[in-house]
Amino acid sequence: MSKKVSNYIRPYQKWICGKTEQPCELGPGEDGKCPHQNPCRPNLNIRAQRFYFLITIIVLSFGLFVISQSSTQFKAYSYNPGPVSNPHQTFEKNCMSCHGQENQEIMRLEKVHSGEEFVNYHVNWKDGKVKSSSCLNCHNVGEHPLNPHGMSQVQLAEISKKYNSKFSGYYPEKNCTTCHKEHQGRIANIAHLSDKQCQSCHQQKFESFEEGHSDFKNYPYKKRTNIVFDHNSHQSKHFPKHFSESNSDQFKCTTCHTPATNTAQMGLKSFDKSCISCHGDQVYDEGKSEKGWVLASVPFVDVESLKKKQVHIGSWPEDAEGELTSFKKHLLKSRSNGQSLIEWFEDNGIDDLEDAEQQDLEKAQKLIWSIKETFYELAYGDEHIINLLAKDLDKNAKSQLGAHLNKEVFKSVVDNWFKDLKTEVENYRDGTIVETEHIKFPELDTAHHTDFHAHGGLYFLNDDFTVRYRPTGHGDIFIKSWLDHSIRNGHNELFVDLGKKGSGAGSCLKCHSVEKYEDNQKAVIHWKGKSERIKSFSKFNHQPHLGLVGDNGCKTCHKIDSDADYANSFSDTNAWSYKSNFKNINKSTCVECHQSESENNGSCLTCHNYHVDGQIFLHDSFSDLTGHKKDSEAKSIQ
Amino acid sequence: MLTFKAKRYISISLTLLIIISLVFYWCYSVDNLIEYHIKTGFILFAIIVFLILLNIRKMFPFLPLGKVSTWLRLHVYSAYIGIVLFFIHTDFALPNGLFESILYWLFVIVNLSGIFGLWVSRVAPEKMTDAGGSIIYEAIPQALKDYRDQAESLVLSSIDTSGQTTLSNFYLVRLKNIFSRPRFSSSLLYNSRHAFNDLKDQIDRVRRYCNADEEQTLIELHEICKQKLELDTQYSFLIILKYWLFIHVPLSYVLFMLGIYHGYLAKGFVG
Repeated sequence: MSKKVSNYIRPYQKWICGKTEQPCELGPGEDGKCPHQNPCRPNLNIRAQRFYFLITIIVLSFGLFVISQSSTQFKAYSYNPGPVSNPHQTFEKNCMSCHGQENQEIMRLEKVHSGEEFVNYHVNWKDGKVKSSSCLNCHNVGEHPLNPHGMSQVQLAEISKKYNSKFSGYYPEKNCTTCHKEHQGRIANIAHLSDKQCQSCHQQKFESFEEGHSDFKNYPYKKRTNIVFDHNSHQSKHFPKHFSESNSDQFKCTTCHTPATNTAQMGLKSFDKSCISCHGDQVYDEGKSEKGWVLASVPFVDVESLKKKQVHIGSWPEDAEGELTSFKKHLLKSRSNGQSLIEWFEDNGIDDLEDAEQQDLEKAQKLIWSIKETFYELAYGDEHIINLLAKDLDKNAKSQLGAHLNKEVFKSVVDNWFKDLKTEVENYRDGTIVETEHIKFPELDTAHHTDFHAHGGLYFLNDDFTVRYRPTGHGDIFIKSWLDHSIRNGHNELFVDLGKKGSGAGSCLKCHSVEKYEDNQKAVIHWKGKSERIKSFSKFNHQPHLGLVGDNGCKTCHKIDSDADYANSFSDTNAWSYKSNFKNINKSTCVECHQSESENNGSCLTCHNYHVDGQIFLHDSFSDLTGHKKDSEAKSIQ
Repeated sequence: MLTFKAKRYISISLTLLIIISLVFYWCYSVDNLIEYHIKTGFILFAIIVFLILLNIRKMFPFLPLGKVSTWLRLHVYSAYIGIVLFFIHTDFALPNGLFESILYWLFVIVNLSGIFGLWVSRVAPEKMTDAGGSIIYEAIPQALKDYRDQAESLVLSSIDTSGQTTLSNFYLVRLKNIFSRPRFSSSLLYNSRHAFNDLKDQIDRVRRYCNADEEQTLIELHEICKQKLELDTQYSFLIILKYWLFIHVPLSYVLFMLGIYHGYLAKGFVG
């Protein structure tokens, strides 16, 4: 097809003749007007049409844009890059929850002053970056949340040194948003990190868990158990001895362990559901036969010498042969000069004062009056003795420590053992001379006291001048409280006395281990089988594995090491020098299932946490780096 | 002087090299927790600006800024790089927010229209030549008028020679509409013979009522009708060639505008 085209068609001119089928020779002018007397209606050429269409679209778009900007609410809605994840959806309607938080108050005030109602959509469009501080308002990830792994620079430097890292400088902080990208939708997992991302910082890169991951070291038995329980001796010795041969397979994991409902850890059954069948007698029956913890007693005093030397101490029971108990010393220490008096007492004693010099006699007199005053305060004091002893404790702690220090018991004590102690002490305080007097009471039958208090509680014995407390059974709150109080506050003598075998309280420490922390030098008694779960680098969820272990059950992974010296691990308070009576779990056990080609190949985050508690980490891995030795002071506590 | 083939080879190689580099950069950034959205966004915006410059370059053909064909080549290959960069920038995922969705789909439409336009500009000339040569868009009405005049004069002459109105009635009922205006037909774009077959069918139907004179005229009329259909084919291709830019160009400018604001928001919020 070939057609002759008019010479007067000018497609590049803005206007073309309106008579498209028969264009005139002249064509329209540049102004788009037809020069003829009977003019046509010139048309815009395509290029010009496109230009005007372009202008129209731009103007329309700009108009829509401007209109959308006029509504702050719509603005916030339209610019929201997507729904936030489910846990954060509460904050979605208030952009300021995360974006540019510090400006929120300023903008709110501006709105209030301008008379507009405040809506939660005001965002600082110039500086709306998510501040990590916004995240940390809710998320507690330790003292150094933005450092790698939440560890301090010192810890990071030390771990770099341990693993011979080339990098030993300052580890820059990372914002939360570096890894956690929001607005990815409701079900997005914003905590996910790929294996490669984990390895971006780690120098030792490897292919997968199966290929290249280092073997486990002492996993998972790095820290000793809270409860002292020798699995080996129980399995090989105690259970066979206790149960008949037909029941010798009674040593089952489920006897004591049960999957915890809310945590990934295995739980421990309570004493009453597991240990009691064998150890109940030790706590409830045989333990009861002990007389209990001696809180107070009347020590022997060389009264005759004091009388001769005109040292006035008032009345003193002739048959008293007790000791100055740790509890009494504890009370004395809380008094002025109490510490120096006790130190003098430790060096000299008050049982032989015949050759004592005047200075020692004065000290002895002061000490004896102090002892009497403590009895007075326990029996007649205006204020409860606990308020004097532990002023800083809260009400609950004071109640637990003081509820059994019954005034009436102590009144009976002083009425029985002293001759009007109340008047004597009041006279002494007034400066009135109270003559020294050796008194002898008729022998009282107090044997029934022991039987009467078989169920526990505070009581006294006239025959040996002692005030005692007998535990009510497992978990006695009074004994627990005094053990905790003494160990936390460094009252070593009191703690040793409470932990002494035969005191009745000493049974606690047979099973409940004592741990002294390296960093704050405080020690704790582990009353619970499981410590509060703290995030470390490794994690393991028992529950999904329970159905996979086969016929061997728990023993698939937890194999008893009959040669391990488990008991020795508890000879001091360092919980990290530990020899478990289970063999370490090897990587090969996990690799049996967690292989590269399997569905459960496991990324780094399957078994590892990124955010860890630095303090715990220090215990876990730095003891050998920091030159930490077993704490000699901790040893002395026991 | 490089041949066209050599230029194309170099352009494709360079483009692939840049695209592979971008993909490596993306993988590296993702694995190393490096923030790449701001950088890729900035480069993407620069590419969009460069792509728009072609339109501006065309507005000023007199300026000594290089050949439009060179600009067009750079435009096309930059666009390919831009597409890859766009998917990296968006993490190969659909956006969730309104503004980002608008921006996303705007980019997709602009690029799809561009790819379509490129394809049409490559395919259309050949197909137009196959359809009987080429004609400029503005000359189509004149050509149509020529065909219509020829057809009408044939029909009128057949009344004089045959004394019958068979062909004139046929023209009025069936053919007048064909010659009234140029027609856009998508089937003609696909080399479909449907319109030609339909015409032949109609011609064959009326043939049985024609005498010998009319039959001769009918053959000539059929030829003119076929030329009109070829003109429609030309028209259809020219419409596509002219009007795809009505989508591509204006939306590119809108994309440019919203891209600026997107960058402003990103600067304020990302990080």
